[in-house]
Amino acid sequence: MAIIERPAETPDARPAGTAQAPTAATNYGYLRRPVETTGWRSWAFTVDHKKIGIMYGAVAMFFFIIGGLEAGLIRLQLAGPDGTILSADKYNQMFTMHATTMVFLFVMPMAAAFANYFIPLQIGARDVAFPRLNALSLWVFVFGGVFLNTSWFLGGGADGGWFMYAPNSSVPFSPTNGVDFWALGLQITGIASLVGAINLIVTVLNMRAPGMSMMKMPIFTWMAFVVQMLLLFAIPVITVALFLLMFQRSFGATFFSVEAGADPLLWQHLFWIFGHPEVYILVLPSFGIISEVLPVFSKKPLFGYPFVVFSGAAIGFVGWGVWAHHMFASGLGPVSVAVFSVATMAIAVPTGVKIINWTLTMWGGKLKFTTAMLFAVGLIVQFTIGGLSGVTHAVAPSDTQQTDTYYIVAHFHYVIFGGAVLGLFSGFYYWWPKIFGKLLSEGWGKWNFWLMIAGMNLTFGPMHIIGLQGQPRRMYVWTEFRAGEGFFNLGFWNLVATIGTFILAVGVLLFLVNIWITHRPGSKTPPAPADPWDARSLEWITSSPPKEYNFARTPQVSELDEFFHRKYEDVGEGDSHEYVQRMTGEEVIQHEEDNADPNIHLPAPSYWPMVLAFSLPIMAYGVIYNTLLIVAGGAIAVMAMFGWALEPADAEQSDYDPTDDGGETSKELANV
Amino acid sequence: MFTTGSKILIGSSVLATVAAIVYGISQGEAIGIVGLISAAIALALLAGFNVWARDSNLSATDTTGIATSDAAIEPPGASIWPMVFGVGATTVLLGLVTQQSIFTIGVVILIAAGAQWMVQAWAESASSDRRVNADVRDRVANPLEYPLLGAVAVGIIAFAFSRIMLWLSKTNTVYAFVILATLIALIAFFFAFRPSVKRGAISAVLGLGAVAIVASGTAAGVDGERDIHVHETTTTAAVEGLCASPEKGEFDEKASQTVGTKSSTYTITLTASDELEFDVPGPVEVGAVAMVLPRSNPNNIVFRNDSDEERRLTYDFRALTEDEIIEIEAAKEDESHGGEGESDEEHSTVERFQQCTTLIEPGGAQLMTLLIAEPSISPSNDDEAFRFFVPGTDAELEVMVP
Amino acid sequence: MIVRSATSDLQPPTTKMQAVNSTTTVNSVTPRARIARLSAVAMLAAVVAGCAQDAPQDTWQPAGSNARQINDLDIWVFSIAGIVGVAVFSVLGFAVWKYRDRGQPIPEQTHGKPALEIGLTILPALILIGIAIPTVGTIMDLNKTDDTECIINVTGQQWWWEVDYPVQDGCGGIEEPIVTSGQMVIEAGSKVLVRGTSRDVIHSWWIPRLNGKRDMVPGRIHTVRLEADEPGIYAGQCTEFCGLSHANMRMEVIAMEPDDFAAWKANQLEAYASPDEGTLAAEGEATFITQCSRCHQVDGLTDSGGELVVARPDQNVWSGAAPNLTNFMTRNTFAGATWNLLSNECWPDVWEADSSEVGAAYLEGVSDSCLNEVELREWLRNAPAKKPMYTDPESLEETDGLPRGMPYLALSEDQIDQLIAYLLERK
Repeated sequence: MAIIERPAETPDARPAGTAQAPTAATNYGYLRRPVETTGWRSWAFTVDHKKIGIMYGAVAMFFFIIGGLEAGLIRLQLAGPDGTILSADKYNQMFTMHATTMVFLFVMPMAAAFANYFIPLQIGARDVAFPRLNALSLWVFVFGGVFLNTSWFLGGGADGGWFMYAPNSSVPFSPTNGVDFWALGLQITGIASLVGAINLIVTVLNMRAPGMSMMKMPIFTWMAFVVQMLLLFAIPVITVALFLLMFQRSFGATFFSVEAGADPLLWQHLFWIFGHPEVYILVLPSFGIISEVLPVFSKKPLFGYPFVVFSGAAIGFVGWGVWAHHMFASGLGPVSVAVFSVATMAIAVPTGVKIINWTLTMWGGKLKFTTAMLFAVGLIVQFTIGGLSGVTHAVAPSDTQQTDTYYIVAHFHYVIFGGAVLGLFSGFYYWWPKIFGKLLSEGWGKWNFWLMIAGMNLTFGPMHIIGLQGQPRRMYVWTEFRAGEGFFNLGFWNLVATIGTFILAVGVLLFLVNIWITHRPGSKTPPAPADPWDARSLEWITSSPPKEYNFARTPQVSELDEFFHRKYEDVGEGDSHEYVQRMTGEEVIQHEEDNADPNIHLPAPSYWPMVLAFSLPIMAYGVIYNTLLIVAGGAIAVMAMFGWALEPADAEQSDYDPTDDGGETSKELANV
Repeated sequence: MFTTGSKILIGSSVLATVAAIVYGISQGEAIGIVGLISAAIALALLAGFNVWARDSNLSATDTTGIATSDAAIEPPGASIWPMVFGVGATTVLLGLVTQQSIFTIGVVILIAAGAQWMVQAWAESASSDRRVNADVRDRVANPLEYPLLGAVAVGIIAFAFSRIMLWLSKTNTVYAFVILATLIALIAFFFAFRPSVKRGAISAVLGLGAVAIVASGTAAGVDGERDIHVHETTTTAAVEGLCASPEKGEFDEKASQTVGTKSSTYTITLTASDELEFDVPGPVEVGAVAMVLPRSNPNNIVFRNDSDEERRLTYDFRALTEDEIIEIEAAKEDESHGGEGESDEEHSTVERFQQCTTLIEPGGAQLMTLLIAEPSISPSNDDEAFRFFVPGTDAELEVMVP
Repeated sequence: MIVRSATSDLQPPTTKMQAVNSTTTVNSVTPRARIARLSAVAMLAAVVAGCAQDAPQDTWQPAGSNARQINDLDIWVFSIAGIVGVAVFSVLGFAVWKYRDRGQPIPEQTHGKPALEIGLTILPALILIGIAIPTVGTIMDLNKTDDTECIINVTGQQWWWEVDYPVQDGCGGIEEPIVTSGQMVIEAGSKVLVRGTSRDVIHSWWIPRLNGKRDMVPGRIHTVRLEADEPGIYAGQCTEFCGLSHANMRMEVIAMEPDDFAAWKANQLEAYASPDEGTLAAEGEATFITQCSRCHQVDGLTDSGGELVVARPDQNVWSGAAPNLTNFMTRNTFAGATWNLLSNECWPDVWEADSSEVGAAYLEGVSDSCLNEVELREWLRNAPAKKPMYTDPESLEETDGLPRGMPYLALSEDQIDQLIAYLLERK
């Protein structure tokens, strides 16, 4: 498939010892292409989806810790009445940045990490459709996240709440630059998500292995695909909203100025049209992950695969029609409220279908409770709680009592933490051996899990109570008077929630400890086998970790759970089934390697994505501080795009033959 | 001929000079200009030394290999860029003595021609094969040329079309647009379904079309725009004193269609019997005699005209102070001297601070955002203040601001 | 990617293998499952038992017909949710226990049972219809405004509530507008309609025991019903993030018997009574005129020349309004209802009074002996230090030099004494 134009050879006869005449080949491009395969440059300029996925995950984990520290400070402030740990101003910044960091800089990129790493592997491809674009997504996210957090040092973080209602977000009410950093930072990370979405959609639609129809794709890829479609349409909406906000604040527009006739509800509608699909963007990847984990550890296929696929797509569709359930108290008329109330109830149905299917997957199975499985079952339990409290808010009159109180905080933490985050942790434990070549310790993993569950329920469980009993959210203090009488008053539960936070923090810490124990120098953990869990899908037909080219030969797919069917054969007759193992996982992989493709072509690394990504924060600083920076950043961006376009898609002589080099995974790419 | 070191120094010196010019134009501070010029001179001096010493690099002086290679032996090909560069230089000088815009055009030509010249020269040293060199030049320059030229071409055509649109009468513009669009669609379909249309035919048709548009656009632009009336706005109405009069002025017949979906606002309706009624979300207070508006609040009020004449709604705040009257008159004087307004239009001297809608046709509506800073008990509450009225009728609505 | 066709080369090895028995079980989880279940039950019990008593903003203690309607719906919905939750957890718990790996062979690879799935899809849909129907009914009911007996306007601004009673036949007849702040007095049993807006950012009016919340949006007017069955004091809080002191923006609704309410109205509209000459309060009046009347309105206050003093907060504060202090001591909270005007001794007499006595207790207002002097003094001495607000003169560029909130006035202790004496007479 790779067609490389080789320039015409110039038949120069050069006298020995004289300077070499420049040839056409060496005149292409501006900067020499990066060619290193080891060291930091092989990470910084890589276009390999696996390395990019790992970097996404590492940076997302870093932001998880930051967001967790912000949460810890919030809870410390609310541990007792009239807290003094944070001033009102700092508290407002803290909860805004906590939510923004967790949603945009942790959960979304972590899901992108899994999607990046595993979509190509699960569909039998060697990389995504646009590898340099993939690198661009990563670096734009990294620089955008860093840019957003430099606000802490440059006048304070954003302080208007993570949904930043107008007109509180306009300059007279938020005079510091925090909101500007927020608006610009999210526009930048939005570019990363949008570009990644396009990339993965094209990958899934075009690069599946032969024989893999859409309904034979692994379920994680399906859910991640739905998520990318949601991102494709949702990110432009938030970008528009942020654009309007940026113009309102930085260039004197009056989109949200009430004295000029504007309606503040415009922002709310724009934000929530994005915001509701956003929550499905957060949770569907985790649904996909546990839809992979549960079958493997139940030794049964996913129950009702078509139903799970269609319910995921249905959630994606119907999710666009429920946004105003975030606005039940905002003064929409009764008709609108009634319509959105019913629509929100409707969306509980496909979600319920998934829960049913997961439970029925386990039903009649052979359940092995590894840490990954524990997290998966944990997700079902916690998400059910969150989902049921969600149904109580779908009832609009009840929601007018519940919205903007801690009951809502409880709900969304149960569905985001108990849903999205537990799913991500399940994915960590499940896929860690494949990514890093070692199994995480099950012992530490169990402690990790139970402490997280205990911490999570202790932190967010009581919030249901204090919300229903009248504690609103986003208050930098709570008072004794409004806390009620009795031992179990709101003060008690606030304290319990704070204690729970620390238990939760310890639980998360144990995850990091687990990583350290497993990978530290001198660790006694043996290398993991290629198929430690006796799994079912294509990504396991690779070594652990996979070679740079993923598959020795592109797999031919004939059914869903292809890997499982290569290992096991049904020898039962008629209605009775008996499964006999014909090959082990290692044997399947070995067989593939014995029949390897002779000519494997991989995309070549490049500087340009990082340069282009670098120009974006410069332009953003320019919007806040000085217009000349916009020009400078713009110039760098244009130059980077120019350089990128000039650079050939393939480095010359980048083909190599893995069967030829005695097991080495790659050799130096030729100098271009 | 120039070694690497010389190139760097010369380039830096040029850059410092350019920076000094740009800095001087934008900031104008002496110390910056002096610093940059000093840097430029110093670097030029160093560059001079280095050109002579050739980086003190003996092997760099051995340019025989390069000088004897095929690529170098080939004589340079024909090129128009030196001529265009010359044209640009001349235009710059011309512009210095005539207009700024000619100077700018000249600078643009200089930069473009200079860049093209440099790229061509560089490409010619790639090899001795003309076609390969052309290919190299294209690979480098086309990604910049095509978008820029395309943007310029589209810009010119769009601008020309806009002049045509401004020249035709309003209804004719619709026809022109529809006809042109249909024509383009027909031609496009024709080309699409004819598998073997000659390239020359397509170029001819497109070229002809472009020339036609540009030519007619130029003609229309020279002839001038049609007469476009500037509507009165609520701001001009207040300043011109139109708020108190039922006169027409130049109002936009479609003004009432500018109210989008506005809910949860106050509504004031002029009934068929020329009375003002107000409505609020929820029930109107029974027994209320005046409309209550909160103070210092951006109140959104929708005015509906259910009578059978064109009417406006006016709110009277208070009388203007002497100083304010003088200011407004002075501003109007300035405008009528500098602008093209018809100075024979009689407008009454504005004496009261009022805010109003434009004239609304029967059945129409318009939004007004009213912020009242003082309460009703304020001393500036004379007989005419704190009320809505419709000029030309007796309709009146008292406002109470607690 | 270079693709190899042909599937023929994948042949399973010829040696047959036994059905694999899984012999390695990762830690048996049965005892843990039991612990998990027990702790879940314990938590549930704690949750049910562990609710605060008499939380003043408890949404599950409705005190009016609107809140009760919502609460009835809540009971229905929460019960269904609870039943569904228990059902799901039971099935899940059972599956986790029964199908754990005990060495059984590889189970049947069922791919699904469409009939079961469709059935289990229709069932939740039916349940949700059962929830949707009463929901829509309640939504429509709670939006009715045609049975209103009293209209009260509310305007939110950073960071306090203004409450005004427009001239109307309702509320037992109001001849002149009454303007107050922080505490809304209503007649118990009367159907009140709150009509609200905001002067700056979005706030939200929420008295949990009387009804759900409604956002107060600048440029828009939203209505919300309020009705209290019994006399009493019902606490509320602004529940839409509105900036720095969002946590310090509270309000109360005081419901009283019709007679008490009539007395309250009459008192609010009583003519201004200047303090007696030579008293501390008279000096306080003068201080008030110079220091406070720029923003705070006291109706009927005249200056030494006999001119009516009209406050101009629009020229002194960004939101353009400040609390009306005409009858300051008839309320018992201040500064956005954040602090008590009543001292700790007197406070329970009003707030914890019986419904038959609360009206009379409230109407007594705040007297000299019951004043919470400490807090009021702190406020007058340095308001921004007590309540976070934007009043630092150096940081007011974006608001044209106007502060948001009450600025630091540099009052001397004497001036504070005078002002307190003067304010104590504002009843």
